[in-house]
Amino acid sequence: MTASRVLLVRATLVTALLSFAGVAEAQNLPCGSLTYAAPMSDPYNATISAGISAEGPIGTFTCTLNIVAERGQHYLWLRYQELWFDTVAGATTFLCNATGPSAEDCQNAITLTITGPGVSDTVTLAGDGTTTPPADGGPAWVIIGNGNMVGFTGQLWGRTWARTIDVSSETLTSNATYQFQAINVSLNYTQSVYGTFMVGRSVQLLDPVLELMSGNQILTDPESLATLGTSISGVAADSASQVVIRIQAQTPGQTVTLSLINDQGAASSNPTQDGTLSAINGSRSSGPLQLTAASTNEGPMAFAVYQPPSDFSRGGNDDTAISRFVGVKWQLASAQGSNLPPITEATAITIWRPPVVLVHGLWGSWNDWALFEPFLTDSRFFITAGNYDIPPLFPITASNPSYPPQLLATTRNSALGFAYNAPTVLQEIQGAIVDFRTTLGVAATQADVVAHSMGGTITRTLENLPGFTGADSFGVGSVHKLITIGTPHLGSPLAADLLFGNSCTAGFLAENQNVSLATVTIQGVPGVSGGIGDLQPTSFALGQIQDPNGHEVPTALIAGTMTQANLGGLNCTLCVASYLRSVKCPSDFLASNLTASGWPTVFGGAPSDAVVPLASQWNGNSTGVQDPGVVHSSGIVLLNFNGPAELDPLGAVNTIQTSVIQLLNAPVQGSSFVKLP
Amino acid sequence: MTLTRLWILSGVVAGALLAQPSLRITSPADGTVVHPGQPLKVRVEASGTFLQVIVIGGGRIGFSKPLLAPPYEFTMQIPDRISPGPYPLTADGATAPGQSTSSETITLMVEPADAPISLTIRPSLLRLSAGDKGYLRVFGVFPDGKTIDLTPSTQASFTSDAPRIAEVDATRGIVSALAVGSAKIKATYRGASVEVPVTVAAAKNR
Repeated sequence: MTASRVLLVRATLVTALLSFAGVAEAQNLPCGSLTYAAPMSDPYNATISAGISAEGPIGTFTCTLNIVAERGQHYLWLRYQELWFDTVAGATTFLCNATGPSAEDCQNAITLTITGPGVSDTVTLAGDGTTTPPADGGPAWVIIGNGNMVGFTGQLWGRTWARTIDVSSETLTSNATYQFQAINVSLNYTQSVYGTFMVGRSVQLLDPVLELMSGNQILTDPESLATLGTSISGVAADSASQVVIRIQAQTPGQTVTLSLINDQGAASSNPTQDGTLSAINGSRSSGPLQLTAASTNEGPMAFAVYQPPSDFSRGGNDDTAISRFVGVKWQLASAQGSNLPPITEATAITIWRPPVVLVHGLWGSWNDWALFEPFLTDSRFFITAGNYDIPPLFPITASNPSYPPQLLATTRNSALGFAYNAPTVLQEIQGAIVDFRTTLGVAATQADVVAHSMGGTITRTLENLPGFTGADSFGVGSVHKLITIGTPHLGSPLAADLLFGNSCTAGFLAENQNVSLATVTIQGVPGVSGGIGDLQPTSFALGQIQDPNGHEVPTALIAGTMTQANLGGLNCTLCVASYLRSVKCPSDFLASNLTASGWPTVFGGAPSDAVVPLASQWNGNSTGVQDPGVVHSSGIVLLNFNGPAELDPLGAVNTIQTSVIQLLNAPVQGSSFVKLP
Repeated sequence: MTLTRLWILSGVVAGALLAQPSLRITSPADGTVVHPGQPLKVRVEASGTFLQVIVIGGGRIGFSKPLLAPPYEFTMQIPDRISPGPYPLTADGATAPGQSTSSETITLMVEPADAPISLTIRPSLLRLSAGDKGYLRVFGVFPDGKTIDLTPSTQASFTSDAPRIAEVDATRGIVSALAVGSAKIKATYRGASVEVPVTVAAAKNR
């Protein structure tokens, strides 16, 4: 529900008030405050004219005006109070919370709530403020219609009252402005509340995807803009999303001026923080933006586009916030021939973080993230654990190296390569964005991807898919930022080892559903890449993601590295490691090195997380984050490496989640993110 | 070489063949349903002499501790946070360093102990072009507040109300878009169900 936008309080006091104080508070919104201390001598006249907020409070709120009156030897009356405001189908409530000596002072407050109306709706005016009919017999509450006002005129008694005006038989038009006035009269004082309301919603925020689009562009014809799109209330801070602002005007050709207001109630001058306005498919700016209302079958309307900033967090409190907002203020110039004042209103657009999609690695599943706590349940983030651990669309009939048919029959896609899994990962990401949009009622086109191991290299291949830069992302792409954890951007020597000369070890791992595949045959097509095949340092797939033209997705690199403490468990006896090393596969290079001193030699002594060298996790750069003391995965812990693993719960040693959150809050244009080659 | 010696030699060869060491999981039975967090006793019958025997579970079930001698009775644990679905279980043993053999694999069916309070499905709307395939995932919301992907469970099933438009693989949730139109796919798990709309647009130019 919307509420008053620009609220002015003007009070003329002809009284002996010792003090007059007004305080307005509402839902963290800057209703502002006003205070006044009346002089102690006659004539005690004063005028207060104060905006509840210079730019108008935004959103649904209740402002409370506290009136404190102190009486001395004389009766002190607030003789006249006038509240003036614009509203649209909202509610503005003034409550008297008297802290003065008498509840009678509360007579000086008027509460007026307006609900509705639609074109065939009812208007309900409800008041609160008078305790009893005045003893002097004068009238109490009166609702007067004048100008365009329709409905009840008369008087009502009682402290509270409500009058519902059925406008269904009236000829209200969907964009006309109507006036009302409520008056509280007694011998000693008169109060009145004036207001105007416009029938129907005067503004709508719309997600244009995909109904209101042609290709990557928003449709420009007014009839489409007037009727299509999905109503929303917010947007993800991904810079790529677009929100269509549909404003109901009064007459075609009417000038509509839009401007952005930041969450401090001031005019925005910072597009990086607050986003931008533009005409449909026009160039972006902070505004103000002047539009001309077009004629449509739905009445005169003006259209604009809001695009969010590229980052949710501006630092400080934003790092811990779930959402923030900006306001869009618009002013309808006085319609020709109208004596009504210009209508100035504003609405809030809630800004959310983009959804987060987690992408698991080789031989993994969505469930690999099950212990990634407390991040998983962090209410700041809308998190989806993507999954490509699914059966292949068609059975695997052969493989290199070969495995028993019954084992191939249960092999899942997570053992296959980048290209095979990329479409599924893209679908998971785009599906999560759709879920985010529908759950929160927002516009969103991109996700922040947090990927582990091979999930990172798969995500890097998405940019090559035709669906990546579809209309649902305005052609920009579905990934806002990518954070990789333990990803073998340059491969791992283990992959080559598992394919050559370590068949016993590979066979043992296959019994654990970790099947090392160079290639497979699916639906009669041989040469479909396996995951291990793609992760060899010299693989074609890895060569493909090292794009000489550069990647567009800002990427941050988190690397885990093992320490001697992680290796200590390997020297166990009568354990999995000793079984592999001494009993099952003593001739294999990998198995025979499954000791605290032997395993680092698999990587030539270079730092690694026991599976992926540090240099590979950093794509050869030295710009990533390093978290020492962790190993690659829970799978390797099963082989008697000591944890924690990279996706284990946050702890004193494993601080990867802290790094992930810092990077999710970090600006995509900042130094933490790079566009990988 | 006398006949007697030949007979003895052939007997030795035959005996060796007959006595080829083997392993067999005798408990649990193939297809046994287990629950996350549940301890699991695995009994392996061995024919022949083994240096060590170990049990290998699929994925997160992981490995048992090796045993040096019979009785080969292993205690394993089904992890708390394990995805539902079928998991293989195999016994592996070595008669000498580098000489090992495996049992026939049995399958454990991991299912949540409780029934879900409700089901959800992702994506909440599936848009495909004719000729495309898409994956659905059905999730259960459980009394402890956890949400679990039930798609791999053998008890999850999928049906389409318009299979000529969108056909769905009954057990895997793979949707095949066949013709322009709309359909509803229903996912069912232990009596609960949830539907998702599927819209199929004209085939893309390929």
